[in-house]
Amino acid sequence: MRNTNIDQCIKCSICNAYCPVLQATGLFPGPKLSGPDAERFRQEKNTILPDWLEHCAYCKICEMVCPHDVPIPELHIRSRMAWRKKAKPSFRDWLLGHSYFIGRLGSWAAPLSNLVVGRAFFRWLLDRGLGIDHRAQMPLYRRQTFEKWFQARRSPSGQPLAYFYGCYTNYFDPTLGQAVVEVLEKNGFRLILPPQECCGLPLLGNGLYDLAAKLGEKNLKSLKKNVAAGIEVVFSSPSCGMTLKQEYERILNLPEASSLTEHLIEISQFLLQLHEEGSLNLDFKKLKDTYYYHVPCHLRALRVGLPAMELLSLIPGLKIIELPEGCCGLAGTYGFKREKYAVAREVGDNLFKSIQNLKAKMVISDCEACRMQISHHTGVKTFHPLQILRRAYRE
Amino acid sequence: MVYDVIVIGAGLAGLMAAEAAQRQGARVLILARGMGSLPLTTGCIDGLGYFPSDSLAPLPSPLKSLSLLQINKPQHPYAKLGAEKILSAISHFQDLCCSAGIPYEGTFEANFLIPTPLGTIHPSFLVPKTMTSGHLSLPGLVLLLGFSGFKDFSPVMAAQNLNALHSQSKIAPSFRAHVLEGVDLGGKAIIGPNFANAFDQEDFREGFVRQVRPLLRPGERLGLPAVLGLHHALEAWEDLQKKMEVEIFEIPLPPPSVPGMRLYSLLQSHLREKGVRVIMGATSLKPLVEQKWLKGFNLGGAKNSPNYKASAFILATGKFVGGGLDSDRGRIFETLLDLPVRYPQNRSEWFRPRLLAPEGQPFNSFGVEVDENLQPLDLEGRIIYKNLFAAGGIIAQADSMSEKSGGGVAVSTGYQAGKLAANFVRGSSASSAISAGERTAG
Repeated sequence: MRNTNIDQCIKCSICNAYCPVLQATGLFPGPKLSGPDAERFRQEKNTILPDWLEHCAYCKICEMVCPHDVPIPELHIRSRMAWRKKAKPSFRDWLLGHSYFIGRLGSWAAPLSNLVVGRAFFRWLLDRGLGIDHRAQMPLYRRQTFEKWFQARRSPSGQPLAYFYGCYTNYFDPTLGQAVVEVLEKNGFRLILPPQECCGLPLLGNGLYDLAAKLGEKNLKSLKKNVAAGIEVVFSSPSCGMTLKQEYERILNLPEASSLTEHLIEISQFLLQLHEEGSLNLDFKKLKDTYYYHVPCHLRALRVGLPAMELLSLIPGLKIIELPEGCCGLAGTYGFKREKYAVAREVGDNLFKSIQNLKAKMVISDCEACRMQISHHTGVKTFHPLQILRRAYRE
Repeated sequence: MVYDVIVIGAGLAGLMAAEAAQRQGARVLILARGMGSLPLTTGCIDGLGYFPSDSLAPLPSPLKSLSLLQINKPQHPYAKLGAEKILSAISHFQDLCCSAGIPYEGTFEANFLIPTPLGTIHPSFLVPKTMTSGHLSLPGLVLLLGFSGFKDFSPVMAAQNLNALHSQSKIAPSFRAHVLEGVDLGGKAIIGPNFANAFDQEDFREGFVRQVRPLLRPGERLGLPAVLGLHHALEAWEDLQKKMEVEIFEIPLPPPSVPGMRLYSLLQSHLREKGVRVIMGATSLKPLVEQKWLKGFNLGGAKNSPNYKASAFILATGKFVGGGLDSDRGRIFETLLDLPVRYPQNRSEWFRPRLLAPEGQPFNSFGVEVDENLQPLDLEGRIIYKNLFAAGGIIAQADSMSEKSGGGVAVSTGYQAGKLAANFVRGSSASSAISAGERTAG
């Protein structure tokens, strides 16, 4: 196993102090105990209660606050993997893991699928039958996926750049993909959509590691072709990006991912780099407003700083304020599960309260799961930073 | 991305430095590895508890011992700053905390003696208002109350040890203990932060009051573990005192420390409001250097990692726990810029055989040497980078563990380093404006 130096843990408990799940439920013993402490037993081949592992939301905050770089989330996921070899995931978890496939079906059948998903009776069935919480807000399927929209249009000429858009943008939020296209074209790029599968994070989160690795291999093969041709790859979802850049190599044992990582760039970071080189199109209209920005946990995990905040600060008149740090709680499919819906809400409670206290009209966040969870629990509109950038170019 | 001042480290020294630089009008960015070490501290500000550090009795006054320290340890950061600068930093810190709703009481002229959860004495000169009536020179009876299942605080052990000190006439009050059974945190883990969140809620406090009131004897004070609220601690403490008509004090616990977390979030949200940015998880910073100037840091060290640049920098990375210093078997090194660290070549001189030797462990005073402007020096005493300042634990010569001086050094060097860095930026931008003017004139 890679660098799992559990002796680095000095038992300072700072991870426990900032673990959002530990503060929301008694079912999780905290990262210190389930991570480095339990690892001693696991190394002796003792089994650890699965609940401990299942309640980790994989926000990676423990890893970030640890002063000694103990890879706590990695210890977690590896022991989950070991446990999954013995216990297969439930049908519900299988279904949530396959969200990319469900998304494909749902978009194909939209608006019918939305009608069904929106029905209280159907949600009751899902809740009672499968354990998908009836209160969790399901996103709406779009019949015209981002891919379809893109293929129906003609791209202007320009420097080619590949875009990993991810399932959510494709099936639920094509306007984000459109914003990315528009902003990059304003900067002289021609976007290419390399053939792509789901990054595999929902599968990882639901214990379906083999399939995640299969999708990973496909993605790597396709993205590699672009990189070999000298084309860099941008992504707009930090969670997809984190999976491609970190989990493929570390968790899914796909060593060929390592040569790709430095060509995979978070979209705001990419634009900020253009700015540093002096080539960012700064033809922004004034946006006289104050927006609040929520830092997604998986963006923090990418360790690229806060590029979206820096980028949006370039728009004249726009004031952008960072919300207090903290996880929103949704953690991909975690917050959709009946036994975890309340935990997920409690995890995000501080964040929701401060959004309400600040009377925020709009919250900006790079991650689709954070955006879903924040709108669901506060009723406030949420956008991706690139959507704001497009507005600044347009208005 | 270009800032005026970049602070590396989000502990007390780094946060104070950022605050002081921002107040001078600088655009400030904090780059931090983790959350900073405040949640590992008591949340009290220690000034100078023992000097010389092996003396048995705590010092009555840090200020009065300052001249002795200046003579015996002229390289100590306190000696470099001098009383006036220390006092101005402290009063600034107190104003800041007071206006943000966590008043700190005390002065550099006198130490409080507060009880530890082990039942020993801890000297500290600034303590949160919620701890003041725990002062061990206040006579009277005290009830120490703990919670069943809460392993960070045993009131029985604390009371026993404190009563032993009382019988030796080392402290004024005497203690009795009680463990409260059946406290329910809604099924959540029995840990400090969860208690603190619960005490933020009025109905939890009401239930607590109903349970505890009958236990109190007339004239007694009540000592509780420092978990009385996280976001609304002062309000929670005042409310409990009012409802029970008793003087209450908090006892700081081992980490994770709720008073440390309170102070951290106070400073963080203050800085955020003022537009200071904080980037956490900066574990692999690669310095960008041009001759005698530090230009910035590359975040991550990979081809596409972003660069953060500034005109001046403050190193506030702490020692071994904070990650500013590290060692292998043969050497001790500064982790970020590989600044020279002075230490004995013979490894056995890094340690004393007794872990808790009263003189302290030598490695606790290792660090980076600085001049009176807190600028790091090389082994020949020359300034290494013209635009680099240091604050807090990374500075050599103070042994916060045995002297009990960590918080005071952090606050005073942090505040002064922040001011110096901001002034440096202003000075250099003024001189570059002049030279630009000269050029156009020429």
